[in-house]
Amino acid sequence: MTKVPAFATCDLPTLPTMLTSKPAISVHGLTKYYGSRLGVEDVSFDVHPGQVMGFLGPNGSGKTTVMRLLVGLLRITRGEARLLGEDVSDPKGKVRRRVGYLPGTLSLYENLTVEQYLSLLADLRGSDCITDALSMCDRLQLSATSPIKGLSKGNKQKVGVVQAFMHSPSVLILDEPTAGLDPIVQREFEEIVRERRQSGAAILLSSHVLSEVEQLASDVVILDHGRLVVQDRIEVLKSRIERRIRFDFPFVPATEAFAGCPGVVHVEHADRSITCTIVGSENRVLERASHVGVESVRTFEPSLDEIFLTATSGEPHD
Amino acid sequence: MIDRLLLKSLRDRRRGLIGWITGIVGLVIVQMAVYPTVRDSASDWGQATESFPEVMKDMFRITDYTSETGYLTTELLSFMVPFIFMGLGASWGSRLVAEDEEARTADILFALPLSRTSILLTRAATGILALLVSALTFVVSLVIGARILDMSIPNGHFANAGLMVFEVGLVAFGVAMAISTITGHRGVGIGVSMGFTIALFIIYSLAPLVDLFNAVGAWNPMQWTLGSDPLVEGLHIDTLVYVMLWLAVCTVASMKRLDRRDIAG
Repeated sequence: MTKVPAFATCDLPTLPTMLTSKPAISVHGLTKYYGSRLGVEDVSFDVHPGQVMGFLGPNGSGKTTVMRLLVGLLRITRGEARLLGEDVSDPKGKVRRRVGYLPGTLSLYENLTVEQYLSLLADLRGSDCITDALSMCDRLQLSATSPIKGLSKGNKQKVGVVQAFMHSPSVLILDEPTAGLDPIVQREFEEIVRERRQSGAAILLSSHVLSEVEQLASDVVILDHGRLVVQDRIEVLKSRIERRIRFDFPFVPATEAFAGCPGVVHVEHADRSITCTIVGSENRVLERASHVGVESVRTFEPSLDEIFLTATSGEPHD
Repeated sequence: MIDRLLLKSLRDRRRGLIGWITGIVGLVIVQMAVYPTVRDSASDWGQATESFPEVMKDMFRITDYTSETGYLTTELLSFMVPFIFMGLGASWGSRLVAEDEEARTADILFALPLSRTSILLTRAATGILALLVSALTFVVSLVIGARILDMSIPNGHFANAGLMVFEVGLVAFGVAMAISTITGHRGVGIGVSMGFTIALFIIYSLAPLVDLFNAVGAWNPMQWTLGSDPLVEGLHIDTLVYVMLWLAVCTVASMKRLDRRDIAG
């Protein structure tokens, strides 16, 4: 198995860098109706080179529809979608040469071996990437000589991952990529995503494993009932939703110590500590705590789960 | 690039093709093995066929049952082999795109940098090639059988017979391709195609008896293909032109619809 360096020190592209580059994935007013049934309506977002966009939403919210529209499997009802500046509706689909796609419901040609399947796709892409594909199989502990028919669900998913990444695409559209993967392979997958991000790929990543999205993505788009409900950087979203800060004091603080402090929506007292639930900037609360004589501060960052649930139902986990 | 898809499709058809070819060769062997018995008792068979109702003789185009051409036409070309090729055409024509959609392998295939048209045409070429191989096998088995039985039918006339059943297969293939590609459902493609071509066959068969069917014969693809006597007459290129036009119309309709619709997944 190929050893890969840890990416703990891998830097995310800075926001200004991303904003000055042209978006690799560009969706504007994207609308899809299946007959009279709504798929998605008026969805707009951009993903820049070197950016991982988490793509979230409850089942049936329209994530897969958007992804299938982007790779040309579905026809757009209204709006526009571009990959690397080219309209996805182009019938020749040349832009897809630089796109890797992993569908949410994966089905492979069962009568081939892993290597035969990957070789077929490499040829159909016009890409000489079979060596890279095989080394990626090695990395994901997948036997290339195995018939696909006999593979477990997890191993089939690995084949799906390899076929999406093997040609080093500039755009990756990944629909539930880690479904069925064991934790070790999930970690390896995350490393591969970080590598592609570092090399400048734009990645749209749909997942129900929110911790995974939180680790990999800098931004999220959340869909609900076919409509975009949230789009922003994760850190900005976190600052916008309610979160808690606990202040410990060397004495029993006054109960009204944080009364009227901007951003504080709830205060809990417990002996020598006060826990504030805040929205927005923490600066004023920290300033007030400092004046009161705080000894230590502990923040409870909201998880992506809380952002997700707040966005889709208004009821965060507690 | 696309040649790999052609090879893959041929590989996928391999077992089915071998099965069908075995069936066709087996049928030819059985039917030709019986011919010496018919030939040796020609007068008895002649009396027997003379006693058939005229309606039946008209429907199945029975003329001289005991002659080499009459026997092979009646036993192989009037019904059995054309129906086999209808089945082949319907089966292979319905698989071009709908099979991938139903198996959900279409999501990765159609997300490749290939146009939908190129995928459809490559798959169609595979099906037509399989039909051609089946027709050639039929011709070769007839030629070998004729040599063994010392028949005097020229090889070119057997080629005509092969062309005829190939054309019948193409008619069914075109309908199956269009219906399955338009609907995205393989079963619908097979069902509609078989129903449609059998209906055309019935209209063709009853044409000598029903004035209306006779009047529309010029528009019936079964009249184009089965309406000649290939073991007696020369090659009818015009019928091939009609069938190719039929196939072209079905292909264009399939391409247009496939290009506009969603891929099922």
